[in-house]
Amino acid sequence: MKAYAAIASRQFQDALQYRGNYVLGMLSGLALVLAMFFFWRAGFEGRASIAGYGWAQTKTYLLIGYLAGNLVAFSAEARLSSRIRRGSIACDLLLPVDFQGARLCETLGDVAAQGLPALVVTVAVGIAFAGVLPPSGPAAAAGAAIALLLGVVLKSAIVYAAALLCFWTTNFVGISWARAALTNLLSGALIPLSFFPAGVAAALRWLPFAGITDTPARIYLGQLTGPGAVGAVALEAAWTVVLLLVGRGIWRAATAELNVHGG
Amino acid sequence: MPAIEASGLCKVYRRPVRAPGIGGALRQLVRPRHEDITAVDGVDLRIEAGEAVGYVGPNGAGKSTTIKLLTGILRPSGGTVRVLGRDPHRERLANARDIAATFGANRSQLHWDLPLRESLALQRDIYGVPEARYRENLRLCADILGVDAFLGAPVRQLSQGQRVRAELTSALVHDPKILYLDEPTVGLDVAVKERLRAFLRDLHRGRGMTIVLTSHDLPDIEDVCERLIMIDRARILYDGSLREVRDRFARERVLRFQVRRPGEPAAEDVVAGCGPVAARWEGDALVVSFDRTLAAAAGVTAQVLQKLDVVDLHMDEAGIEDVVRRVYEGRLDLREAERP
Repeated sequence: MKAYAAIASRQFQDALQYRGNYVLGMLSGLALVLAMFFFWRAGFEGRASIAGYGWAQTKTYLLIGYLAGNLVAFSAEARLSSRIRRGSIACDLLLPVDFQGARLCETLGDVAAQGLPALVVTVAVGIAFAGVLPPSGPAAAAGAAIALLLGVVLKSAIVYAAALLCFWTTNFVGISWARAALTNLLSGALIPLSFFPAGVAAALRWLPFAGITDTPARIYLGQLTGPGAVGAVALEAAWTVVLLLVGRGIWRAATAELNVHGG
Repeated sequence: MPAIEASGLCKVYRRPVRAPGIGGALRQLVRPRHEDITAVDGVDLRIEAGEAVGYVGPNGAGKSTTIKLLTGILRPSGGTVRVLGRDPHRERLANARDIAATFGANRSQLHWDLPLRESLALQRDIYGVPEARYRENLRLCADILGVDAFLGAPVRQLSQGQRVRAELTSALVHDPKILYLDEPTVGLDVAVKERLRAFLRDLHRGRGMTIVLTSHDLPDIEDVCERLIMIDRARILYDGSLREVRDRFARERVLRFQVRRPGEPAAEDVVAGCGPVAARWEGDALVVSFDRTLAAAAGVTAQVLQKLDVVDLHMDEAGIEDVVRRVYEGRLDLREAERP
C-alpha cells in the first residue's frame, strides 16, 4: 500500500514542479468555462427557465459539471499512451506494482495537486462574484464531494481502458478525441442532461458517463436527494467497478501479445 | 535450483506488411496484412546463481527480446522460462522484487522532471527498502559511481554518462538477486565505462550477484563475465566459458617491428628458425604473426632485434572481439570447431 501512496505523492510533486505549467493548467479550464457561460447566457435571453432549470442553476450545474469532468486531466491519457508508444512501459513492468493501480494513483496525485484546487477556487470565485449557487445544504455538499471523488476514479477507469487501445492502434490522438467527445456530451459537461428529451435523459443517466458530471452536479444543486442520490451514487460505484474490471481485461489481452516498440 | 532456466523459448511478433506508396497505405487500411517475425527461436538457457553471463549478438539478433522474456515483460510464444523457480510473466510482481534491469538511455525508470533523489526515494518506497539499507546502497553507488555529485539535479539535466549511472543506482536500490543490463555502456566515454565495469565486477565477485549483460562492446563482457552466450538470428550459436573461447580461438599475436632500413633481408629469413610464424614487410615495418601457444613473443623478438635495426616495437593480441567478428562473418563456427 505504501508503494501506491509513494507513486501518488511523486506525481503530486511532478504536477507542482513547474509553476507556469501549473498556473496555465488552472487557467485553461477557466477560458472554456467563460465561453460556455456566455453561450448559455444567450440561450437564456428572454426566458426564465429551460427544462425546469433557471439561469443560476444552469450556471452552477455547468460549472460543477465541467470542472468535475476536468479533474482527470488530458495529461493522464497522454502519459499512458506515450508510455505505450515509446516503449517505456517496459520499465513500468519491472516494478512490483499493479499497472492499473499505479496509474490510478498517479491520476489521484495529479487531481490532488491540480484538479481539486482549481475546482475549489473556481467554484468559490463563482459563488462570490458570478451568481453561482452554493451547495443546497451540508448533506448536498458532502454527497456531491463523494460523487465527485468516485467520478474521478470512474473517469480514470474509462481513460485507462481507452488509452490501452494504443497497443493495437499505436495512435492515440484519434482514440483520445473520440473518448473526450463522447464523455463530454454524454456526461452532461456540455449540455445538462435534463435539457435532453426526458426519455433520452433517463437513458443517459443509466450510462457510466453521468456519474462523472451529472450526478455530482445534481446532488450539489439539491435536485437529487435521499434515496435518489444514494441510488445514483450506487450506480456510479457499480459502473466504476465494472470499468476497472474491463480495463484489467484489456490489459491482460494487451500484455499477452505485447510488442515493446524498438525491440 | 538454477537462477534462470529456459527451454525451447520462442517469441514471435506480428508486424504489418505494407506495399510502398499511397496504394499500399490504402490497401493496408482495407485489408491489413501481417507477417510473423521470430525474434527468439528455441533458446535453451541454464544460468546458476552467482554467474555473470555475457550475451552478445549483432543488432536484431534477439538479445533484448530474450532479456524481456526473462524479466517477465513479454509473454513467450512458446517454451518455458523459470526465474528463481517462478514464471516471470505470470508471477510478474513477485519476480520483480528479486530482479532489476536497465534498458539503455531511452527506457528510463527515472522521473524526468524531478531531482534524481526523488526517483531513488520512489524506488525505496515501492520496494519497501528500510532506510538504513537504502542509505548503505546509495553510499556504495556514491563511492564508486560518483552519483552523489548530481543527486539534486533534475534527471532531464543529466549527461548521458550520469544518466546511465543514475539508472544503475536506481536498479540496485532493492538489492536484486539478478541484474539484467541491456547495453549498459552505449554512448559512454572511456573513463565512465571503466568505472562502470569495475562496479559490475565488484557486484558480481563481492556480492555474488547474478548478472546477465548484453553488449556490443565486448571488452565490457571480457571484464565482467566468465561465460559467453552468442546469439544470431534468434538462435544460440555458442554457450560456454569465455576463457575457453579466448584460448581456443583468439590465439593470434601480431608483432610489428618498425625498422630504420626496411625491405631486406627477406621477411622469411629474419624469422627463420622461430617456429610456425608468418612474416611480411608492410611499409617500414616487419609484421610477424603467430599462434601464441606455438611460439613465444620473447624468442621472436630476440631474434628480430639481433637481425634488424629496430626503432620501435608494438604487439597486438587477438581478443574475444575478433572471434565474435569471425563467427558473425561466417568464417568461424564454434560448434564445428569444437568437434575433435
